[in-house]
Parts: sequence; structure tokens; C-alpha cells
Amino acid sequence: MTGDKPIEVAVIGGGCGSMAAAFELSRPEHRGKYHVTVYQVGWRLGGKGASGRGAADRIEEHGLHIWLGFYENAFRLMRECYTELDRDPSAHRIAQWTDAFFPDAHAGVAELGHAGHWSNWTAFFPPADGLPGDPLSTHNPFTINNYVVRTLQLLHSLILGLRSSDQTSEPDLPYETTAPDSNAALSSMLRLVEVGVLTSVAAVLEAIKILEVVLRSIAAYPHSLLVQFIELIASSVRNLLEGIVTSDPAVKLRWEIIDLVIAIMVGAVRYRLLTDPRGLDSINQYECREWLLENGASETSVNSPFVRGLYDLALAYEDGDPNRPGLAAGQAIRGSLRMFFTYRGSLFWKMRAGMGDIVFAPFYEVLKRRGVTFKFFHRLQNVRLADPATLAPGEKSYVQALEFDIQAETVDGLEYQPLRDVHSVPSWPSQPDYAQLVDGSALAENGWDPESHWDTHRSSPLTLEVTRDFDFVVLGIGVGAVPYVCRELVEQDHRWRMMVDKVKTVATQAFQIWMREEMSELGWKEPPVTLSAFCKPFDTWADMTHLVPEESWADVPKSIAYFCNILADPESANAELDPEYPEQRHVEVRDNAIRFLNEKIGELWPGAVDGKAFRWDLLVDPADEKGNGQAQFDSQYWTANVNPSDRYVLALPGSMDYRISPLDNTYDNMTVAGDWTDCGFNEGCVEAAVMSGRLAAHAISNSPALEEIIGYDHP
Amino acid sequence: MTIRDNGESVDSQPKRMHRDDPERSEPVRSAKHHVEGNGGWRETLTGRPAANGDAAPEAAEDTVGYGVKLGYKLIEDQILKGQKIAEQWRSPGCEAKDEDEWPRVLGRLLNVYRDLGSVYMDATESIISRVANLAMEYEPGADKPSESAPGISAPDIPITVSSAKKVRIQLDLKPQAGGNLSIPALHGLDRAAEPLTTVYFAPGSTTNPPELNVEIPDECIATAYTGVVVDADTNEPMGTLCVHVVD
Repeated sequence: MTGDKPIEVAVIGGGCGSMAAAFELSRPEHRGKYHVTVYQVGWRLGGKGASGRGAADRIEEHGLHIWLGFYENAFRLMRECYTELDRDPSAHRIAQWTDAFFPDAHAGVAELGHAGHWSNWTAFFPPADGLPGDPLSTHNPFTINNYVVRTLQLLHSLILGLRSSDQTSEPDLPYETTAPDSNAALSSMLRLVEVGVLTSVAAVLEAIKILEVVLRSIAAYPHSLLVQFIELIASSVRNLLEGIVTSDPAVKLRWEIIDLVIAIMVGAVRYRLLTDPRGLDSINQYECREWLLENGASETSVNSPFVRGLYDLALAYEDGDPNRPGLAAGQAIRGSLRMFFTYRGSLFWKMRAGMGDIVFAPFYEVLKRRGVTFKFFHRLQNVRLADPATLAPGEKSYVQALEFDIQAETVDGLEYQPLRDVHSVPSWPSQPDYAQLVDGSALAENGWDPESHWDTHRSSPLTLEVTRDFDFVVLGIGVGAVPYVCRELVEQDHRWRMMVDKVKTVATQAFQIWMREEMSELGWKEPPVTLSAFCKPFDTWADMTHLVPEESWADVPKSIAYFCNILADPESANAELDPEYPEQRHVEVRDNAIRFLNEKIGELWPGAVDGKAFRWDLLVDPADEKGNGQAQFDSQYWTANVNPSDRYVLALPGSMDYRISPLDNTYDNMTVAGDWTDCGFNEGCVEAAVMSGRLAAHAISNSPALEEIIGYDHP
Repeated sequence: MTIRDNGESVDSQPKRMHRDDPERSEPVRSAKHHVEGNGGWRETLTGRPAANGDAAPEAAEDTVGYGVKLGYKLIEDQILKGQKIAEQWRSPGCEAKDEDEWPRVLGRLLNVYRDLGSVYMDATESIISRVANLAMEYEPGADKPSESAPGISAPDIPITVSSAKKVRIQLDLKPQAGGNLSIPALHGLDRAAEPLTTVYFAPGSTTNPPELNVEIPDECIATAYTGVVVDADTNEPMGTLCVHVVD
């Protein structure tokens, strides 16, 4: 610390990026050098990950939140947070991080068959070594070596698993007891290219082994030969295996994955991804499906449920239009490599309670203990830049002031207490605790929603001035809100203007239902699953029945299901100017959900429909009022995430170069945090947000070292 | 790092703090960094270093000689093939049906030679660069490639075969394969072949690797039988096994 006065850091927003930055800057190792104040709109932390406890203490989320096993930075911080939290296991249901998260190894995709019916395919992903957040002490998994080996092993296993229709009993290449050395690989490549055809599956497998040797030291081989060789493998595999494609969806899907893996390998060589200094970023201007087609994948494969499932999980549809899938090829492949080849423990990790309870309440408690100040009900209205005329020669521009609306005052000026215990789990309520607010009763009666972008209620204005009130700013708001609160930045700075124009977002919709019957009674015979690629408007479903014990029901549900998806933007941007806009979209999501349950859910849960309509009496009403027909749905939970800050950021082709890094120093007292920044993993997710928050902390304090931000340096 | 030290200036007006420019503002994406940085650049499939430093210069010379020899052989093979084809065409009954076909055939041949020539030149160029790389990597006093993590490899595993027929076995294992392996039934490339269920691993101990037992029933059809070796504890794939039964 320098002198007696700590350096004041204003963190704006309470999402994953902001919390990660606050967590890093308030570490005890800094010895109080930084004092962090978090400014949060409304009553709860979490941003897009916020959740609340509603009637019957039921968990109400913004959407479906599942952590992936490669979220190394996010899990590392959570594990540190729970260790520091030091909850007594005898007094808390969720004391350790292992209580908070549990592995979920099942993933599924759905496919529409020719007869117009949906079938589903679920897969068990075997546990991988270690746990997410463990030290990466022995092997760095983010290497080309690892990815090449894992990809080719996957290809090898998939081909073996398909059991070709090839009838030749003699492979046309002799098996060798050891892998070929580099000279033998070169020789074999030349020979095989000369022959021009691989006539059996065994030969293809042998060629894949040679390819593995070659790709591990690609610079030592002639590029033109390599291109010919890999295209030979690709064409041979397709010739050999296309004939076995059957109506069996599992076999068909496996073949489609083989086709995609081959296309990626061909593209990796043709586009020199293994040697380009930009790594996978060098193909970010291409749309992923188009790039796969370009490299030989079939139309069937790029439209397969596997690919659609990945797009669905990434909500990758421009303007929320299901007919406009968009994902930058490089980031899509990076995400897939990370997802499938670097997960630890389990592919998916589910949370034992709401994301707010599992993630943001522990962060809040630990940060409070460290001395971090939280200012709830503070809505940022403007980031004011310094007058250029006042800048000294050579001085960079900077943030002069932060202008807020204080949305509500607390009674007697006391600090707002945001959490309440539910079954010994500190949780966020779904509404503000009005009893703590001045005129709280009136606000409650008026149905006040302080999180709404359209809410204008203000108790008083507040202006924070640089040096007087803050030294540094971490702008951790959602990118959708940037045009509204950073008007000067967007007007004056071409890069920021291009960023808000190119880095697009999408609105999302979600609903949750609580049911009286178990999933097996509803007709779902598979294990609890996270399934995507189902039909619109709700293509992703997760069985969340494990949450039942965390809630407080008189009539205890036997199953819980969450659905989510994109929500198409209105044709006219002016529609959002209407104060009634959020309510209109809320009603639209309700109607979507009712129609979906009536018309589509029977494909997944045949027992949930009676005749041609959903069995509305399945739904459990927390108020225990017997509703009538589909009106019973009104007792369930749904949301239209149309607030600008709640919109999900996309990774569209050609957009990546417009992202701004937390390390950018154009405004030398401000940095940015969130999954919309150029953070190394440029796709909307918890991990990206946490990486970004850590980078923001690095920008201010030089800690953590960039090398400690796992996966930041990545091909 | 970047912070002005004092919070107050001489005239009591607080000075604004600022960040210095970072040493870099982008991730390192270069694959080169992510290969060499891992120390795994020269590891073989089984995780063993490809060569040790002492043997490198000799290996480099071998590589040059081998590459040149290979290139000559490739061109020679193509010339011989070309001569053979030309002789066939000159023989009675092998005339082209259409005179227009000759230019097309000749053009195709020329393309083949051009492509092969291009490949050969690329190969020569890359071999030369490999020599330079090898020389750089194995300078006297330079660090040797790191040893791989201990594990079992396919050659370490004793194999017991009980068969009346001739059998060839190909076992590939990942470097991290442990001692507790299992293998589901092997499936034949010939669809008529019944799955081979009499292949199994006898568990190893801390000092001994597992033993692979291959029992081939007399009625077993001659074909290649393949399957995935998995870790018996985690079910994670650890390699592949191919049992090639020959009559």
C-alpha cells in the first residue's frame, strides 16, 4: 500500500466479471492496497447469473446455468471462495464447493426424424482426470500436441466404433508394433499419396496414426504433401463409411461427428492453423458451419443435432432469428476443443441451488469480510470523460466522473442486507426487501422493478468524481447497456462505436415448471439430462429435479424442468422505446411456453400430454390454488430477458476484432470486465466473464500474472 | 505496477492515478508457443522422447540422406511406371480409342510429374529446415527433452496367446494408461465374424504391468478384430487393440 489511503476502485455491476475483479483486487496478499466498492442496480448481485427465491422458496433463474468442466478460472475462484468462507458443515447444507457443485455426465441432443417425430440421443461422458480448478502442475492441456492427439484418438475410436461395412479381412498396410518415427511417417505419407486411395478401414486407421506423428511436428513436413495426405484420408474415410449410414440415429450421429472431425482436421492443415501466429483467431471471420462445409463436411453433418446443439448452448442466433445461426469458426473450434478435450472431472457441473445462492452469495460474504463495500440500488447513468481541453500534453483520456441514480434509500441510512437464509443457505430473494427501504410499502404496491431498464424511479442523483471518490473504474456492466451509459465514449471513440455496433447481443427467454410426477412417469426413461437441439422456441431443456430439497413446498413436486432459448428481436428497434415493451415480451414468453407445452413437449415426455394437450394439472402451484387448464401455468415462472444488460453476447463471425480488452489502456483509469470483452475466450459464458475480471484486476494491480489466467494464452 | 505512489500532491490537490501501458494486451495464440512451451515437441506416441541429445547429430545426417534417397526413389519409381505405361500403350490392342485421348493422358502424366516434383522440392526444403532445427535443438549444453511421466506402454505388457491360428497383435496405449485395464468384446471387420470375447487383461500390480491374454477359438473367422482399451476404474479410453487372425 502507498501511504495511508487505499486506492479506490469503483466496480460497476455485480456479475461474474465484476466479482472476479473484486475478488482479485481484495486479496489479502494486496494488504489493503485497494479498497473496492461495488455499485449494483437493484437489490441483488449476479447480472445474467442472478437468481432469486420466490414463493415456496422456489429458485427463479434468468435462464439455465450449467458450468462446464473446463471452467478452470471460474472453478478456481469458487473453490478459493468456499475455502475462505469456511462454513461449518454441520450447520450449512452447502459448506464446501463440492456441496455446491456436482458432476453431470449426461448430455443429449434431439433430432427431428423424417416422420416428423423427435428422437433423442444421450451420451455419457466419462469422468476425466482431476477436478476443475486443480493446479495445472504436470501437463498443460492447452497445447497443439494434446489437441491433435485427442482429436485423432477420438476419430480413431469413432471409426472403430462404427465397425465399417468394409469386407476385406486383410488390411492393406501391415500393422506395426510401434508408432512410426518421423522418417517412416514421411515415407508412408509419400507412398500413400502416390497410391491415392486407402481401401480399408484398417488402412485409414493406420494413416491416422501416421497423421498424428506428422501433426505433432508439423513444421518438419512439406505443406503441400500434408494437404494431399489429409485430403486422401478424408476422402477415403468418407468413401468407406458413407455406405453404412443407417436410420439408426446413434450410428448416424456418430458418422456425422466423424465427418465434422475430419473437416476440422482438413481445415486445420489447409488454413495452416497449426502454424499461424494468430492460432484459431485466423479463421474467426468465417462462419463456423460455412468453414466446415468449405473443408468437406456434408450439409447433413453441419445441420446435425450435434452442431445445432452446440449452437443452441451458445444461443448463437443473430437477432434471435433461428434461421440465422452465427458463430465465429475459430472461437467455435476453440470452445469445442476446450469443452470436450480439457474438461476435468465431468463435462457438466450442476449447482445444488440457484446460481445466486451458490456463486454470488458466497462472493458477497467473503468480499464483505475483506472490506469490500456494496452499494445496492445504484443505477449508473453516465460515464463522463475528462474534457479533452484539460488534458496535459501526452496525457491519456480518462474517466472524470460516474453519474448514478440512487434508486431507493434505506431506512435510517442503514446498510442494505440483501440475503436471507433458506434451509441454512444464504439466498437472494426474488424481490427487494421492502421493509429495509424508505417508502418500501408504496414501492411494493406499485410493483416496482428496480432491475428494469425502463424503470425511472429515483431517490436522488449521485456523482462520483475521480480522485475524490475513486481512482480506478472497472466497468462490469453488460455490453447491451454500454450505449446507454457510455454515450461520450461511443460518440467520441471510433473503437467503442464499432464495438457496440459489431459485438451484438441477443435477448433470451426461459421458463421453469414444477410437476407432480417423476420424469420417468412422464415418459423420460433416460438419466437426468441436459438436452439441446430440440425444437424452437425452447430448444434446451435441463432436468433440475435435484433442486426440490432446497425449496419449501407444502405440496412437494416430484420433478423440475428448466427450458431456455433465444428470443427474437422485434422488427422495429423503436418497439423498445415503448414503456410497455418488457411487459409485452413477458406475455409473449408465457404464450410461447404454453404453446410449446401443448404442442411439443409430448415428443420428450409422452406421459405429460393427454390427448393433444399438456396435462396442466401436473403443475404444482406454490399458492396451492387449483387453477383452471392452462391458466395453471401462471403459477409457474418465466422470464423475458430483454433488459439491455441481460442480453447474451454473441460470437459472430467478423466481430471478434471489435472487442475491447480489459488490458486496453486507452482510458488509463478505466478497464472493462464481462464476457463481451476480448478476454481470450470470446464467447458468452461464466468462464469468459471470470477471465475478463481477472484481466481487469491485472490491468490495475498487475496481479494475477497473465500466465495464471488459465487458458488466456491459448492457440 | 502502474500506480503513482502518493495520493496527495504538494499543493494538496490529489493527483489522478493512471495505469501504465501493459507489456501486452493480447493472448499468445501462436501454436509454436503452445507446442514447444510444453516440452512435448519431440515426444513419440507412447510419450517417450524421440531421441536423446547425444544421438541427434547422427539422426540429422541420417535424415538428410534418407530424404534425398527417398526423393530419388520416388522419381525413379514414377519414371519406371511411365515407361511401363508407355510400353503398354504401344502394344497391340492397347491403342487409345479416341485420338483426342492422348493429349489428355499426356497432360495427366505431366500433372502427376509436376505434382510429384513439387512435393519432392517441398520435402527437400523441409528436410533441410529440419536439420537446422535439429542442430539448434541439440546444441551442446542445451537442455535435453524432458522425460515423460511414468506409465505403462504397449511394449511393456506381456502377451499370452492361445490359438491354433496365426495371430498378429497390435496394442496401442496412451502414456497415462494405468495397471487396471479392461477391454470389451473385439469386433471383426468381417461382418460375419462373431465378437471376440476371450481377450482380457489380467490385472497388474505396483511392480508388474497387466498381462494381455488372447484366446482364439478354433471357429474364429480370419479377419481383424478391433476394440477400445479402457481404464477399468474410470471407463476412460486408454488405447486400442487389434487382433489379426490369419488362416
